[in-house]
Amino acid sequence: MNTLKRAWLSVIRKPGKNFLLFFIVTLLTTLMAASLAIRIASNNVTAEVQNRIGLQVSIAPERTELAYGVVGQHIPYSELQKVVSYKGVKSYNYGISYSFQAKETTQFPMVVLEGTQNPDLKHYWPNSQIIEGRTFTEQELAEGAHVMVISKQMADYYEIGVGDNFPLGRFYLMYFEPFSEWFDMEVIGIVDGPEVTRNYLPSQIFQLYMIYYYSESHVGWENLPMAIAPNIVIDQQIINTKLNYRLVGVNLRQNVQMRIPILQMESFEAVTEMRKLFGKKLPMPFKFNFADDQILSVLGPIGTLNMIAEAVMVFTMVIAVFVCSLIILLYLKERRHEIGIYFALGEKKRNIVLQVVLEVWIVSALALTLSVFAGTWIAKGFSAELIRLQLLIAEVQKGKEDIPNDNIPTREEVAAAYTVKISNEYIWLFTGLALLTVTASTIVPIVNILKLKPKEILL
Amino acid sequence: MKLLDINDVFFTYPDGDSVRTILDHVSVTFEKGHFYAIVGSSGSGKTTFLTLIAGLDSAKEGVISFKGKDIAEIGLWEYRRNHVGMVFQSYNLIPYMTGLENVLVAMGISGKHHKRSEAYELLESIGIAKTKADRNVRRLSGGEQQRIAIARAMANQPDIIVADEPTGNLDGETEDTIIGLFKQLAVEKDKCVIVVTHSEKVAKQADVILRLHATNGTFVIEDNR
Ligand SMILES: Nc1ncnc2c1ncn2[C@@H]1O[C@H](COP(=O)(O)OP(=O)(O)OP(=O)(O)O)[C@@H](O)[C@H]1O
Ligand SMILES: [Mg+2]
Repeated sequence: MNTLKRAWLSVIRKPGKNFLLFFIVTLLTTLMAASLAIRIASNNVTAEVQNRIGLQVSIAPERTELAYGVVGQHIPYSELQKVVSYKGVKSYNYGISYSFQAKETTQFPMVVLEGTQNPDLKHYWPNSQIIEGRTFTEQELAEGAHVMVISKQMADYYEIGVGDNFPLGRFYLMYFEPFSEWFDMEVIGIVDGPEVTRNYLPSQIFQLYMIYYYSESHVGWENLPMAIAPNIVIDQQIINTKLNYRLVGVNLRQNVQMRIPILQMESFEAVTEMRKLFGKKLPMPFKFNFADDQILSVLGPIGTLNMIAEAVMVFTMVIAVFVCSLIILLYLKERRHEIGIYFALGEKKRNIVLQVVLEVWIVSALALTLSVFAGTWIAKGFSAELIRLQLLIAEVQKGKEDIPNDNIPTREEVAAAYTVKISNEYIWLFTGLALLTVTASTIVPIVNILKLKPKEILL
Repeated sequence: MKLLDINDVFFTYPDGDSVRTILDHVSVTFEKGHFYAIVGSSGSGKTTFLTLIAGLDSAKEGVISFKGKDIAEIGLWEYRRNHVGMVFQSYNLIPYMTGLENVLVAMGISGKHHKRSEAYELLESIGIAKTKADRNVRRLSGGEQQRIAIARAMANQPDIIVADEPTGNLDGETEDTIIGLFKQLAVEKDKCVIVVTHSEKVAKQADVILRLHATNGTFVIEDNR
């Protein structure tokens, strides 16, 4: 009869004695399984959230300033250039848009010129395709070449195609004296898709009227044709123009729309460095929204949960080692005769140790199968409730100062990503930790029985 | 041929602040195929002597050699595992196992053979039928339990079988059959059987009687061969 068979017999022939150990191991490992399940789930969420917003820094005006409309919504291009020239910035995306006139007569709708920094137009219009011509080259974007990709709608309306030069401009009445300025844009591509027209909201139309106050006869205001051009071109055409110098006292920027610039950073160190270098240097009312702030605001509650789970787990493991040691010790004390017999028969000490460990493993194997499921079940209920509460608190705090940013996962998304699943990783980790715990509980009892003297037990 | 040679063995127990001498430079030899009885008054040191022979303890002075080799050199665990079988007054069987399993445990430990059929055969030879061999040992009579203990002592095919008052808990008739078994082991299986006993009736059946004197810690040997 080998050691395993002996261990097996001792477990199945004395189920009553082993039940206490089974019960305690099940109870404690269920707690372990639950906290481990919570930990793994929250780590998954953390990874998910970090992947989503990664190493991003955005620049946006503070909400209070926006509300009062004191200053325009977009950071001057020159200021942005300073920031993005920092070597820790891997890439960045933003867009200025401005509505220009297409013809000198106001009977034609204006054209919304969207700025881009990215040759991949999917970034702006995910569901649209280039149907003719091409997109920008990196060089065109960097140098601010006077080229544009236009919408199918615009091409049809103005009857222009790839290769044509098309004038855009602005036309103002200054003290009832008309003034206009025009610049040629070469059409390099035509895009079609659901997103290429833009609807202006009534309030935005009102804003437009403030400047183009005379142009009541404009048509098609709700569906302005759209075109894309390098950011620099748009910026130059509203800042460094003769017109701009004539329009003293009129803030042209009020009519500028801007996508929030999002900077992709090289590393978290770069983010920290960026915060130090530029944190206070942005012009009012702009401020950085650091990805780590965003991560913290979303991950805060998860972190808390994670910490609780970890504490429960460590605590449970310590208690488990203590309690199981005691049970095994008492059980082995009762079996000192049997152990004395093995000693007298000359059984190798390592086999006796092995038998004790195997017995505990057999009991634990049964307990662990049960507790994996019980633990997951508990973890599901517990964490769903807790995360709901914590995210609610975080949201209330966050709402005070934050700006809208598409890249921050919502409460619902986090809660959805936070699913407690039985994965292989979980099973292995749990089994490993649980076996480590129960095995550790055999140390004291084993040391104790190895000191026994068969002569004193048996004779 | 000398199987076991006890040479000038000295053994003491701590007794309060002093020590109490149990074996005072004892020398005896044991041979194969003989049945030895150790007698002596209670507390004279019979069990103590037996534990030394069985390799459960070591002498303070002197040498115990098995087939010419010091058992300390062989290693007491290995010596017990391979060369000695032990039988106790209180049987000391593993209570949650059957008789067969008790024998199989010992066979497993010795590593010599594991076959169930061999274990059944061994039990059969000692007078335990298959039905009884498969019964939990707690549901066997004292005599039957002691038979199983003897079978277990044989499991590692030892040269020496030691027994400490093996019939101490048994009635006279059962005592006779158990002692008969021991004699048989000595005669038929060529074992060296050493039995501690209080019974003169048992002692009389032995080839050699060793009388241990409590006061001077030495043996008086009666050779009846
Ligand atoms: N571990 C020990 N420590 C101290 N003294 C001991 C120890 N074991 C036995 N003794 C003493 O040594 C003496 C011999 O004991 P032992 O058990 O060998 O006697 P015994 O001849 O077998 O007696 P009995 O016939 O009653 O079984 C006894 O007086 C006993 O009290
Ligand atoms: Mg005794």
